[in-house]
Amino acid sequence: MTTGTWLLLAALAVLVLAGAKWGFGRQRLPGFLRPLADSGAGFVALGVLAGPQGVNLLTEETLFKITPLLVIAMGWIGFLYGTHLEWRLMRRYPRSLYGAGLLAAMVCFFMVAPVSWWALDTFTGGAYAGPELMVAGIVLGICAAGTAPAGVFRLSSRRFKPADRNALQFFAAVDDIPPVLLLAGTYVLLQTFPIGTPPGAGGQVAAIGLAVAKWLLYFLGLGAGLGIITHWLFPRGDDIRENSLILLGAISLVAGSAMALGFSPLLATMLGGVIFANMSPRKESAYGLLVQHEHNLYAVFLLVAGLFLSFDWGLLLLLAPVYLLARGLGKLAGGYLGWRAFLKDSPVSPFIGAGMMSQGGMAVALAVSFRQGGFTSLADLVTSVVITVMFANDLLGPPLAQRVLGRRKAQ
Amino acid sequence: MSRILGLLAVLALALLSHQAILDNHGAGLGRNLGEAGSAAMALGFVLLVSYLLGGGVRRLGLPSITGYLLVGMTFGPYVLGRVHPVLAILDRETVDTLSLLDSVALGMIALSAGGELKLARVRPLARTISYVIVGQVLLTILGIGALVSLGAAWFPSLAGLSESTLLALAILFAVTACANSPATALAVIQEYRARGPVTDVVLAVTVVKDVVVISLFTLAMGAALLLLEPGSGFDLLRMLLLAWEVVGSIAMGVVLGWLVVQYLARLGHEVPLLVLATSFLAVSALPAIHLSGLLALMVAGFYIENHSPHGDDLIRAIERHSLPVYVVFFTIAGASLNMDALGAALPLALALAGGRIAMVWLGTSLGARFSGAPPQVSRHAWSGFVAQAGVTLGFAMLARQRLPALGGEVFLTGVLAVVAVNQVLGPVLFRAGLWLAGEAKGRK
Repeated sequence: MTTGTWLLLAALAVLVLAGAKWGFGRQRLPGFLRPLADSGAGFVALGVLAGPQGVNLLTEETLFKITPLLVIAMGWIGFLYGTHLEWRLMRRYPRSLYGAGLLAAMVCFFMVAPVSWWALDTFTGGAYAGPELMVAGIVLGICAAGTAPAGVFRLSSRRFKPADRNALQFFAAVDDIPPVLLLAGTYVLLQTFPIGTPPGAGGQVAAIGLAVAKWLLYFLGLGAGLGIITHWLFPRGDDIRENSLILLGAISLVAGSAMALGFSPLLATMLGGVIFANMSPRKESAYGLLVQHEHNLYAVFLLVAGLFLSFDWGLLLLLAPVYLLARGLGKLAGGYLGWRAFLKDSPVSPFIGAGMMSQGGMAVALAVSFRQGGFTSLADLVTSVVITVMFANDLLGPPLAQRVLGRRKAQ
Repeated sequence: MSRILGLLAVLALALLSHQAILDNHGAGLGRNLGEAGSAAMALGFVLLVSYLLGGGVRRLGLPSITGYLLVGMTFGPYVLGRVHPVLAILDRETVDTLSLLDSVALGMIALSAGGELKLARVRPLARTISYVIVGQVLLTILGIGALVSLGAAWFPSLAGLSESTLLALAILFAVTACANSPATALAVIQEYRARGPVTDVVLAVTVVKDVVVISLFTLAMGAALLLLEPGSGFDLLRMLLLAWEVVGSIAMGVVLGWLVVQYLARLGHEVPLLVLATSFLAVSALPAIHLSGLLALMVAGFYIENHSPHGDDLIRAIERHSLPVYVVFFTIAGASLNMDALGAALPLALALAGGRIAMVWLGTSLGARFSGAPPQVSRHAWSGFVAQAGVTLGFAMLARQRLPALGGEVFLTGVLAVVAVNQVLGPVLFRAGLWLAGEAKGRK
């Protein structure tokens, strides 16, 4: 390392030490900044500062050797999300709520993806091929569609109507399903026909079907393998050390296999989580552990994700506001259309979308998962736009929700 | 039954995935992404298979880490890897990719080892600790030095070397033989919840001796250089670097410890993250300024335990997460054990390992007896000093790098072979020693 790097490292250390009280003692932060600390944005910022966009502290070799951590963290996030989807609990909710939540997510996706594609095309000035821009636009749309449950949970302390609060919590739990399925589809298509494949190179329908079947087989095989292995191995006792080891081992095994085979670790482990949650009598115990380690895993994930980012600040500053605006409008429109189609007779507010702005770790995980697929060189820019807008949504989302949904309460 | 089914499912999934990975070559991904995925897969495999088979080894009355080492050796490049490449889940590239995580794991173990040294418990044993260190170091250096220099004719791998090369080798083998593995000692102590004078002496001696051995090794490298390149003269810079490495690492350890104590006192959140970050920073950043990350972490652990009321919280937090750390560290250590080297230098390795155990036993027994230690210390404490691992291998790599005239690969191969023998025997002997001393209480 050069002297300059050491000086920057020292400066960073001083900043971290000085900021430690704020960064960890959240109660001392000014109110409007608290959501940033809660969402772990500081960890991403620290990663970006230490990575190639900042002081470039770590060598390429060290960064490479950290990559397995990122893969494992994505696997953990996917498995945890999958365990939420337990049929026994899900079927208790009315279909109208599912309809509204899923429609809201799809509307948001269909509004954000074309706008992002257009913005990328306009701002990159023809530097990338059309299909690359389209794929990047689709992925930005996918990352926009979901809502962070943690962000909604933080909103629940505000004075909203119980119907709005419950609807928001439910939407946040299910509206990541469409983006996850869309990402799975994108993955399968891009693995079968990588960007740049000449039209018609895929050949006949049989060849296409075979390729799709191969990737579906990987997806189902790995997901089912994880669910069954965890079910068989997860101990009956309450030794936290042993239980954590089994979970960590099974998730690493499958997430790593998925990554090495060119499939998304996030998706494979998510399916594993769904299977485990629906077949194991010990899911409660596993869920408790997953949640217990969630914060640490997210912190490591966000920090490492920040370390890997390498992008053009100019492009980022142009794209992020467009994406923020498109997503905001997409959420409002999605919430309204979902309400109009399914919840018109319920006490839920038609402006429920205003409470769905928070965009947490899952959106980042989807973006990073796409980035790890190595499909396009725009993936870094996509990830950094998602992360930047996540910060903005953490800051802007709560006051907006308070203004739109809280006001109704006062009336 | 479900465990056996689970183990079989893990093996099947891992082998199928590995075969597909070998066929696909990362499915057209960048080389790095495919390798990172393989490494994460191997890590999962290590955690599950080592842990489950380690449990089987425990039923035979052996320490779990022996099981982890055996799994690493079996699925490493030298045993099943020779049968078919798909069986080598822990091939060389994967082990190399996991080396950073392995170092961080070792860093956490070092922090924990330092934290196990409570001043109130160690102070009454100070005399014994110093006598044992002096006894071991003196006798090991004399015994191993004599064995290599006088018995060279018996070992084919030492045949044909010049007198000065042989002497340089004798000095380096002798000093390297003094090193121990605090990680192994701590793993066995924690597994059997051992408490008592033997436990305290073994832990304190292995930690303190690291400082002594690092200093001695640098002096030995200077002496070997003089023997191999007679015109090179006395190297003041090397001596200053040695002083910097030892004193600087201790000072850095105190600084790290102080920072952690302040953090624990004022904030106290996210302790596992703090431990991970501290270990990562120490093992990845300190070597860049010629400091030993492991030594600094041991000192930091010692400082935290003895200067903070929250020291126990930290050590407990590390212990809560210690199982995966030990499984990963010792399985990778097993996969790294070079069976080719062991085969090539078997007579020399057996002689050195046997001679070293004899000298360690004699040095410990005499040191403990002269210091007036309790009888179980002089009888059983030696068993905790047999294992060798990371530090010793680091010495061998350093010598190969800086002393190219040192008889080709003889030193590296010899050290690798001795470490293989000692690392397999060490945990088993120490477990037996703790049981005989009456300090082992059972598995945690």
